Amino acid sequence: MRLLALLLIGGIGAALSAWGLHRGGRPARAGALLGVVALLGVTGAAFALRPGRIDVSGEPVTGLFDAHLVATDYLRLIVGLWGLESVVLVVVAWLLGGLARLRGLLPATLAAMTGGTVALASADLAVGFAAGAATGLGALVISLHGDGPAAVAAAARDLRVNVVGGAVLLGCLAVVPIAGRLALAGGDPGAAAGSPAFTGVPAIGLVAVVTTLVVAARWGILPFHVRVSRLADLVPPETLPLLLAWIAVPVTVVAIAMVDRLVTPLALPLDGERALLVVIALASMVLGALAAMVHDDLRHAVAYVVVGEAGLLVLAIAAFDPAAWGAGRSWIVVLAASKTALLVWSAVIEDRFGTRSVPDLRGWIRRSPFLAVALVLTALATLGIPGWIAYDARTALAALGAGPPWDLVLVIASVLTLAVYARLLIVGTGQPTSRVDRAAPEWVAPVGRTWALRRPVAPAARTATVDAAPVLLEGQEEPLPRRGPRRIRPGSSPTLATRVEVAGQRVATAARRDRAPLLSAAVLTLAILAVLTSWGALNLGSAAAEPAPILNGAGTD
Amino acid sequence: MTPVLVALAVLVVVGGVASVAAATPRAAVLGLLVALVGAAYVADPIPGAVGLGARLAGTTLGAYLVWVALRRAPARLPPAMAGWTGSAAIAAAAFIAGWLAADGLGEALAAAAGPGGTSGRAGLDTTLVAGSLVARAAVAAACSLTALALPQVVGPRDTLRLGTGCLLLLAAAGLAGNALVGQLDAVVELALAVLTALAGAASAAVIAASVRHGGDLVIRDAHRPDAAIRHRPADDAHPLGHRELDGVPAASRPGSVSGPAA
Repeated sequence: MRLLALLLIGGIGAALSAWGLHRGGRPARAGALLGVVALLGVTGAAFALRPGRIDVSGEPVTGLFDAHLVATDYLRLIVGLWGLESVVLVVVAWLLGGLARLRGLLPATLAAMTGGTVALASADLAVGFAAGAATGLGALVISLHGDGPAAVAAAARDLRVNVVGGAVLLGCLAVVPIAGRLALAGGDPGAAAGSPAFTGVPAIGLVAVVTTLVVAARWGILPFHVRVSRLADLVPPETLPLLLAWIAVPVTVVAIAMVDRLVTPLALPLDGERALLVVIALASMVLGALAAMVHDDLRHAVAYVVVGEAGLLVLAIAAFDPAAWGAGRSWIVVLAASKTALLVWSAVIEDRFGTRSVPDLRGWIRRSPFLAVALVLTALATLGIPGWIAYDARTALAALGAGPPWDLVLVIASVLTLAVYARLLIVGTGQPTSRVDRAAPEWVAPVGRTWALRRPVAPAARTATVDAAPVLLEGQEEPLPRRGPRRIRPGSSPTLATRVEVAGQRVATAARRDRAPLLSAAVLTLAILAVLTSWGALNLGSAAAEPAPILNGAGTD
Repeated sequence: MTPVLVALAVLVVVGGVASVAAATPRAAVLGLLVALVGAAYVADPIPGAVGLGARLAGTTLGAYLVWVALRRAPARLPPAMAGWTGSAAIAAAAFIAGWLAADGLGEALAAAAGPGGTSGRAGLDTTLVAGSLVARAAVAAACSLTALALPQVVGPRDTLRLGTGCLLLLAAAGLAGNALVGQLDAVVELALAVLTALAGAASAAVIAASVRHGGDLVIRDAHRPDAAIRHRPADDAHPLGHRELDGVPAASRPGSVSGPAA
């Protein structure tokens, strides 16, 4: 029931927030409020899920729709973390640009979380792939808000990546049992031409490669990186964590489950396919880091960091080893959490200093030391230290993907993006540019400018202004009389709506007054969450290692 | 029942051809509707009532949303990649190839199963092994729809055909599932229906956005100069925006031929 409650809250919240935020004015405020409440509800419901509804062999015991949707520890962890980070993201977006910045982000987040929950809870791979593809369509809610033909082109790319990817994965799922049966029928890896095994083994290899390419397209891994940089140019920067990281998580998890459940148990000689996938991973990690280093556009640089670090995900599939299951699923969570912190850091930096040019950001640390701490923590979360989940997952994936000495090469390639973090930190220590120098200070202002709410004043003065800009209608010479501030008369009892509105406006005024420290605090919060994830908080290691609740897939095992 | 379902598979392919080759939105959406709805029924055995109802609702809703989005679109679509004849030829060739591949696959599976009719492995009681013509027709139709849809999604020129290509690929995946996996679970049918409806809604949103921003269905990617040149409108020699450049009307700008006399 809690899983059903989560799905209902998410779906209804997405619809209501989309409806309200598109209308502006009071409906927009109501839509935003409902959306935030729904987001909190989804997050709470996620943490309240009762996992452990599968037995030791991975068979679902209870769940929705005759055990087709099953709550697991991993689902609780991902959706809970996604919800926590989304709450912070929504606050950041509101501080950056008010309700207008929530118009795409809030409904898309709720819709993606709902679809992602279905994908992650699915006990059937076909349902998981369908839900994963539908989750990706949430990106269109954001990309279609852009202006001009570029928005259409970006939305067309998103549509293509998600629907075509979903169709291809569903097709692969249909082919795998047949190909596996043919491959096993021959029994001899060096089967002669015309025998069933001669057809089956390459077909399984092709399925594995195609599945990996679909995942690569969703993350923007090379050679699908072009979409990422164009998307980064178009959409508001605070939406990038959702579009570049979280929205691709569900389908990646289901793809890894398919390979682990249907391909790996066959133990086929897929050395050629493994080599190809390792080359793709290596190229993505090296070239992604290189592109991030040479780009002076901050948005492009951080987007390519995501591309580079996502390359490690390919190894989770390329290993064709059951041991890669837990490591791959751990790395997905670490990647999403750490890249959320990095992308939000980038959005706040861009807003504070009014530029996306890295050279123009010289000296930024002197104006924003908390953001510097957040960036260092994000780098730490990305790298991890021995004993942390991030470190162990990285080394395990490299070792399983390619034996020595290539595993060392893969590990080195996977940490090349640290040079980008170092570059940003070094730039921040220089002599501040004029842009940096005139940016808002990060620290809380002294007396008279604290962000704390003011104490209530005398009832006669309790007022709240309501925005009503002068409007000149056609043929009208005098502006419409401005509506006066909402006044709570002494002795009268204000309605609940009035109280909420007045309180909301006070909070908004106070928050906007000190938005710089609040934004830094939000980024710092995300960075700390990333570090905790990288360390293995919320029992990430065991949650990632639990078996998937997959019912079907018995065709080849 | 088998000949009807095989004929339905052919009808699905005809619908697919119409959806990518038609010159008017009405014909394109009609073809898309035929292809999407028909694809759910080319299965042996036919899915249960719940699954069929869900697929019917999902595909109809998806096609309807695309139709609604096309209301303000131009009456004539941009030129098709291959035209009626070319698309029909591609579809026919892919259909035959798919039929032959399904035939060979069925024989290989039967050989792999051994003389007892079972390989000793769990699952895979597909009708393809038993030599069902419907399963062969489903594989053939899936190949045909894939061949029609791939050019639309690999190098899309307009939003309608991109959306059509995506939806046709989904239909092809469903057909492949029908033929290779056997009878799909009702929940899987429901998931496919929801995905089809959402993909239709997403296609409709992209189509509506292209009409709103450009007045037509063309995808103008600034990073693809060839696309801009290929779809250059006929009256772009003096775009409207140039007249009011910097707030100065074109007629009064210095050097203007039609400007006021000094």
